[in-house]
Amino acid sequence: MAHPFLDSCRDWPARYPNRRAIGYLCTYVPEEILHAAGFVPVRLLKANDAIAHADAHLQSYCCALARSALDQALAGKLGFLEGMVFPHTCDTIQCLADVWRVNFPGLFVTTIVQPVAVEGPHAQSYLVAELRRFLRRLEDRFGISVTDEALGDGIRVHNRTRQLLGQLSLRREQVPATTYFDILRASTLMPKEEFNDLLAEMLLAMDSSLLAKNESTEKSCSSRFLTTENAENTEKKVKISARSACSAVKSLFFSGVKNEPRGENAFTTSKVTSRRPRLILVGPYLDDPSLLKLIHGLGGQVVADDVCTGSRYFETPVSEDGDPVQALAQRYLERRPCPCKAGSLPRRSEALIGLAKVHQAEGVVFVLPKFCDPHAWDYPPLAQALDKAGVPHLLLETEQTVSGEQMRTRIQAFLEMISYQ
Amino acid sequence: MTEKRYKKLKCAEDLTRLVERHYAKARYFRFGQPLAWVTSGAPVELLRAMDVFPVYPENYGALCGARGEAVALCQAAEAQGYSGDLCSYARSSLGMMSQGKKAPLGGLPRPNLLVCCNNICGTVLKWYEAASRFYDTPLFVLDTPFIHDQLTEYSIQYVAAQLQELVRFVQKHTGRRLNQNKLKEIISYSNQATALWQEIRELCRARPSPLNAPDLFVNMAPIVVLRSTKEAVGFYRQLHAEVQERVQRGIGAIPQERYRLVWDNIAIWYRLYRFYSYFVDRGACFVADTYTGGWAMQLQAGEPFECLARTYTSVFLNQSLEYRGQLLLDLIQHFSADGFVMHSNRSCKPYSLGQYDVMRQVSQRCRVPGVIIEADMCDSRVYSEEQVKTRIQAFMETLDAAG
Amino acid sequence: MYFLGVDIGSLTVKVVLLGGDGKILASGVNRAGYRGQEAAGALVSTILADQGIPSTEIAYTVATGYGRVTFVGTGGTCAPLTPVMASEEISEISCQARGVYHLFPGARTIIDIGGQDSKAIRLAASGRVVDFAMNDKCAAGTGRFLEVMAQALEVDIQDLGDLSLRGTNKVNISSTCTVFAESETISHLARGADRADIAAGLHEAIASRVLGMASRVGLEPQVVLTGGVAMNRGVAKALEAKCGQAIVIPPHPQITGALGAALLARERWERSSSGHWPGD
Repeated sequence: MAHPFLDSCRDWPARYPNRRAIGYLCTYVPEEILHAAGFVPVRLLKANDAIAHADAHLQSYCCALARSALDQALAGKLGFLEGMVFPHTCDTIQCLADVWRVNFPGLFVTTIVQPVAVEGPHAQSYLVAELRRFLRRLEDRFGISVTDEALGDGIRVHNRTRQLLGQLSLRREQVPATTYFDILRASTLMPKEEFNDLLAEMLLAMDSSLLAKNESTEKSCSSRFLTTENAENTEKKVKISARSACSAVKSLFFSGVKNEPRGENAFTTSKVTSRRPRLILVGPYLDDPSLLKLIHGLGGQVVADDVCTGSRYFETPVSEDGDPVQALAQRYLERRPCPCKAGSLPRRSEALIGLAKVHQAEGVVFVLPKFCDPHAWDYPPLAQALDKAGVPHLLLETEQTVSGEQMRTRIQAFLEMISYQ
Repeated sequence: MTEKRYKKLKCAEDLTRLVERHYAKARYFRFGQPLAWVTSGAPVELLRAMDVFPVYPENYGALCGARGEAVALCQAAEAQGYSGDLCSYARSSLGMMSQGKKAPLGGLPRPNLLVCCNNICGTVLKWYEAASRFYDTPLFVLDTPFIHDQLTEYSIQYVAAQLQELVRFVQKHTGRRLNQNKLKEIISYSNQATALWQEIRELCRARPSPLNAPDLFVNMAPIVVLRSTKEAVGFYRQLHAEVQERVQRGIGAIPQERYRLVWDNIAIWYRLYRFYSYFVDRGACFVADTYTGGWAMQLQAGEPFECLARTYTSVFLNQSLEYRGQLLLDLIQHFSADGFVMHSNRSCKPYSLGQYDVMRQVSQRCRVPGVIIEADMCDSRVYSEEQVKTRIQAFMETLDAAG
Repeated sequence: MYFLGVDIGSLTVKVVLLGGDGKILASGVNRAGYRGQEAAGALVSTILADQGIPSTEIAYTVATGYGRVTFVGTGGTCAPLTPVMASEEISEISCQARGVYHLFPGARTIIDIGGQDSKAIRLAASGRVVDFAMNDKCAAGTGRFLEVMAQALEVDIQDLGDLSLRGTNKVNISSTCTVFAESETISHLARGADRADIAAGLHEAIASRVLGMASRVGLEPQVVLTGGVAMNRGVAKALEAKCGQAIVIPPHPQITGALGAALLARERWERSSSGHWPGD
């Protein structure tokens, strides 16, 4: 049986032969608009394959994400995408958008030049105009018409995804780190409705399993599904059967557990987890679960994050009232900013110290891909803020692959350092 | 020895004096005039019309690079945790801030204001925010949306509205008001200086070319640093006369011009003369470049805020790869060049990423060879003399074979 | 009852044997070869044979260094069957810190330059690790850098330091990248520069690279230099000149990591003196 949560672009076309997809790299792309236009937004992340084709287009001092994404496209692995959308974030993505357009002349490659000064008084009206232009381009290119109703629907579906992912994050300490990662990855690959249903059922199953610890997962969640009068569940039409949801949950948890080195049961009691040093991950994105495995295997646990494949992706819902484009513009200006945005550092810094307090974190791990300028810029002041707050931190610079003895030594030494305190 | 291969301009000393006077004035003779650090693409006319004195940390970085003093500053920034992969102008600037008066040239004077315009890159935003934290100085960010295809009307309105904000910002922090008459006068100086600079560059269409790349790079300083001043206009008049004289008398910038080349990207400051001497030895002169011409933008007539918005948003570095490829192609054709050299500048991602595609397209379309040189504008630690020499030699051999 | 610290580095393996009272009974250094674990096992056997100690007398072994992970044979589930199977693996950061603090309680900064990487560690007055930094993937600032340059200069690596001290007119090596610096070295040689002057320039280059990293954790005195490269007098001198303070070098700078491992082995054993093994 296929893994219920899709985990890579590779299997996308086989799984959704009748769906249309548009690719993107950065969470400043308003997925709601793509959804409303009938496309599944598919987020590209770095693949672990060695770069073969992109070296002829991008220099070695370009980040691995840009190089790998272009490489996948040049290798013909992204043929199912009918277009690519690039929002304006960093200098590299700005160049990548142009390089993409030059190399794929027939493809729908477009940009959304998001404001940088997000707090400025004129940013909202500018972004509304820019989003409307994006909409028009979609309509012109694909000969479609996107109604406000469709946009409203897109907003509701994505808000539901945000809400469900938020619920999942509250149970983070009960979920193996790689499973949490896989689910978040799936949320940026799968059609959102399907993903929402799957995650909603999984959350239910998880809660019932926690209630009935010693019963088998399948049994407990079946009974839960058969007897529950949960309002949230009944209000929504369940598309997949309780049985398949249960097997989904089972395969996820138990396969996830198997993959965890020094694996602990997914439903570990809090007594055990509390002995593991509690860490927060900070960086642009997390694209390689092997890092999580390494951290977990060495005895740490990730309790929160500031990465845009994590919390930054699903925080801040879009208002469901009023003009949808206005509401979207507002959300993308108000969300927890990425370091490319003006005035982002004080907000990021405050949020990070807050996270550390709320989650009683014992350490912060910066996972910074080499040549990611905006995050490299924020690292020294964030490190300083953490020093001031008395939170130890570790810098991991990653390149094409996350592995190697040096990475292990750094993480181990850091965990030893914070454990002996 | 390398100096011999470089024909010095008579007005070189005037240029030195002009730049020195600018820095001395910034430090000692402002008489209470507020000082702003600004990026090279900031709408400086507005600031000057409000009696604000602008200094350019990018120019300071280039100076330190040319004096071979940038690496020590970069190391000082790296010791604070800043990655060695960040822009070397920015690292030089951060290093200078931490060294205070011990920095080369006594450092830049402390700013009263910071004005950052992102029409050249995203790095300046982070750099100026760091400066703002360090000096506890107010920062204004002018957000000029990047042009991937065409400049939209709502972008112009967005930028023009921010320029109004900028005026209020300066007024709030300095108490100075915008003088509309002065603005007109200043815009006129800007236009005169840029027109002269443009004409000087045009004179390089002559064979032999009266100027080579080091001339262009050295003499671009006033168009950035003193843009919109009477002094810049005076200097460029003088330079124009001298260059015109060279053309009339058939004097070339290099002894024997056999090949005409176009340069792309910022200079390799710490090797300014030695690097180009490898070309001079083989009879190659750089007759044009994409960088120094980038600042020759005329401000159109009309409502000043809209003109400034339009002009500063359309800066070449704020436009797509296709646009910049076309610019290179136009230069090659306009200046009858035989080839082009692209500096893949580790420090400047927005200028450099995409050069491979530009090179392929340009050489296909105008059938002249090009070469990419890996280096950095200020950080000599990533520069490999031997590799660079081999590349240049191989490229010159291709030109020989083609000619 | 005895304790072992085994440090399996990229170039050499180091072993320290402690008695029940914590005194150093023996230590040894050997080339790692291509199988560090085996080289370490052999070194342990030699030391134990020399001392006439049967392997069953080893109460606890801590492994550290690059080869530490695969050296942990029994994972601490029962008393080690053979001494080469460590009871526990601990990172070289913690071991270096422990070893150096034992020798120099006043140490606040450790600079360790090994064959494959270099690190800087900041210690609290209690000896606890407060912060650390490591070099990035590139070989600049490691023993490997000097090894490549010694080859380019056709000098024995052991003699490189002394050669550099004879330099009178230091040549400036501007590249940080090992490959670039090598070609720079070769072109200096081709231009007839003195080898001693080039060596002095290379030592300055490595010193500035290492200090760049070390300044991220601060350079609070006392600064202790360890690792194989610490035996090169030229590096120590260049570091002192560049950072403007005295640098202390232990008499055997290579074995401080193994010493720390052995000390930690003894502490771990004492902490679980009730007889059952930590990690049970």
